[in-house]
Formats: sequence, structure tokens, C-alpha cells
Amino acid sequence: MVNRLSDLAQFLQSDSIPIWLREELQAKQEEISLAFEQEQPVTLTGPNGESVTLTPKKLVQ
Amino acid sequence: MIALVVSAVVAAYLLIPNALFRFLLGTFVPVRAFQGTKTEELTRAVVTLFFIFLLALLAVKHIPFCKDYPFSFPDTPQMRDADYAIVGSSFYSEAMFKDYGPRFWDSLWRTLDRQGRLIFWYYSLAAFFAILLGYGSKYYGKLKRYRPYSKFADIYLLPHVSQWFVVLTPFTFPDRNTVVRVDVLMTDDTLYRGKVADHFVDRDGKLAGLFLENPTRFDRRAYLKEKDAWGITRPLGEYWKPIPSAKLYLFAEKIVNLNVNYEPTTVAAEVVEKYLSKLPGMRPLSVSVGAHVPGPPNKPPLKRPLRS
Repeated sequence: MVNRLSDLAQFLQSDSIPIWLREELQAKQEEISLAFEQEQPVTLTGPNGESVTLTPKKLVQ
Repeated sequence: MIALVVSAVVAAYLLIPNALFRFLLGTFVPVRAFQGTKTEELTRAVVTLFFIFLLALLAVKHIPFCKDYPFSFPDTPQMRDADYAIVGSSFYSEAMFKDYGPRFWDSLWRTLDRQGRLIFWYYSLAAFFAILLGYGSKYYGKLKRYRPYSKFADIYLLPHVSQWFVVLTPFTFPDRNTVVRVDVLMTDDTLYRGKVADHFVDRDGKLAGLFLENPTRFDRRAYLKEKDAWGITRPLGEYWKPIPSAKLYLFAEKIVNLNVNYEPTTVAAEVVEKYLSKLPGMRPLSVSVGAHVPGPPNKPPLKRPLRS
């Protein structure tokens, strides 16, 4: 049972991402895995031109 | 007589200010309907109002203006103590009431003036805090990152706000344009999906119904038929059929469960990172968010800045 509003807010917000990103991640799962195997970053683009770049940890350093 | 006085005091100091507090808060956010005994109701009122009552008491004792207004009259601590003694003992014993004669009525009116002054400031503070909390609650999603506000809201807001309002609206999200989408399984096994346009609760605070915007229905019959015939199915998205209606109302009594998804319009890198870390086979990664990628955008640029 959630006793605090802040805990409930955190619970509701976890995993809440824009629908376009969820769909892109589902559609491009294989492409992302392949790019990561080659240590390549992947950029996903939203309907309004916003971008999300996924970079495998080794490349970040 | 004592019972009558106690009832009046409980009404004046607990029930009425509690109702005032909830009414004013309810003009900003839907308040939770409580089901419980009278004792539980009074306990909740005490918890809500204790701090406000203390402030009112301090105000009429120490703040010059509040000390005298409203219902101003020349007063001394000795006179006050004597008035309370006379009024208290007269309520307790009819014999003493007769002994005091007209002095009782003088003391009673002065006592009512004093209590009226305290109640005036008490109700004013209750109204002030309800409005302050109500106004703050409209921006809960944004303000909750400030720890003092978050703590304050935990104590004062959650016990009063309707749980359905928290769950079925973007109330807890900093991005107020967050879309709340639900998959609703009905008692007849029909599955609906749509954006929550509005919801209704009954007088007991239970969900009464849901309005879905741009609703779709899952074609379960075709899905099962194809699965039985072919052993495999088309992508699930193809079984969702639009319902020719802008709004669909679903009665809560026919709902078996709700699968709620929140879709913010902005991207938060840490949320995406957490989401991806839960996907099977996903290796550790970092996420960065940008407003746009190089090259000409195919749509107009964002009006709101992205959160990173």
C-alpha cells in the first residue's frame, strides 16, 4: 500500500515514456541490438523533431 | 446541558472548519470521499486542523490586531478566568446557574465574544491553508521536486485528494499535457483502449464511470479465430478496431480491470534509461535527449523545451 503521495507519484511516473518512443523502441529493437554489438549509438527521432540518443556504456566512458 | 455544549464545541471547532477546509480544497482538486465512523471522521478532522488551530490560538494571544478584532471589548486575564469559571460551573449545575443570576449572562456574552474572535481567525486560517494547498496542488507535479513541499503534500494532500484523480489524470506529472491511456477489460471480456477524457466517482468515492476519447475495441473473435486456424496471429496492433464515436462511456460496475499508461509529451533521459534497463537483453547504456536532430525537420519545432 502506498502511504505517501510522493511514493505514488514516483510509482506512476516510472516507465512513463512518450508513445512515439515506446513504439520506436519496439519497432527497432533488433536494429538497436545490432548497433550496440558494433558499439554504435542509436538516435531515435520523435514526431516533433526531438531526438533520443542511446549510447552503449562502453562508448560513454 | 453539558452534552449540548460539547456538541456545539465539536461542531464549531472540528466539523464546520473541516467541512470548510475540504470544500475550498475541493474547488481545486477533487477531494476523497471517506467512509467511516464518526470517531474516524473526528480523528481526521483533528489531524487536519490541529496545526491550524494552534496558529489561530497563538494569533489571538500574541498578535495585537488579532487580540482585539473582531468583537472588541475591554478584557483582562482575571476577567477571562472568572468568566470561564462562572460559565463552566453554571452549565454543570443548575443551582449555581441560579446563584450567579445576571452575572452568568454577562460572563456568557463575553465568553461568546472571545470564542467568536478565536473562531473567526481559526476559520480564516483554515480557509487560507485550504486555498494555499489547493493552489499548490494544481502544480504538484512540478513542485514535488522541492522536498519541503513534497513532505507537506504527503501529510496534508494525500489524505484529502481522490485516489482516482491521482491515478486517472496527469496530476503527479510535471508535464501537464501527459496523456493517460487505459486498456479496459470488461466483464463480457471485451477489451477497450482509449485516452481518458474524464472520470466520475460516486458519493462513496468509488469509480462510477470513464469517458474514453478516440476509443478502440480489440477484435478478440478474429484474434482467436486466426490463432486457432493458423497457430500464429498478425501483429496485435491490427486487431484494434476504431469505434465510430468520439467518446465512449464505460460503466465502472462492468469493468474488471484497468491497465493504465501515462504518455508524457516530453522526454526525461533518466526515465528512458530506467525503462530500457528493464527490457530483456538490453545492455547498459546512457540516454541523451536533444530538441532536434541535424537536418531539416519535417514538422514545426517544439513550442515547449524538452526536459533532460
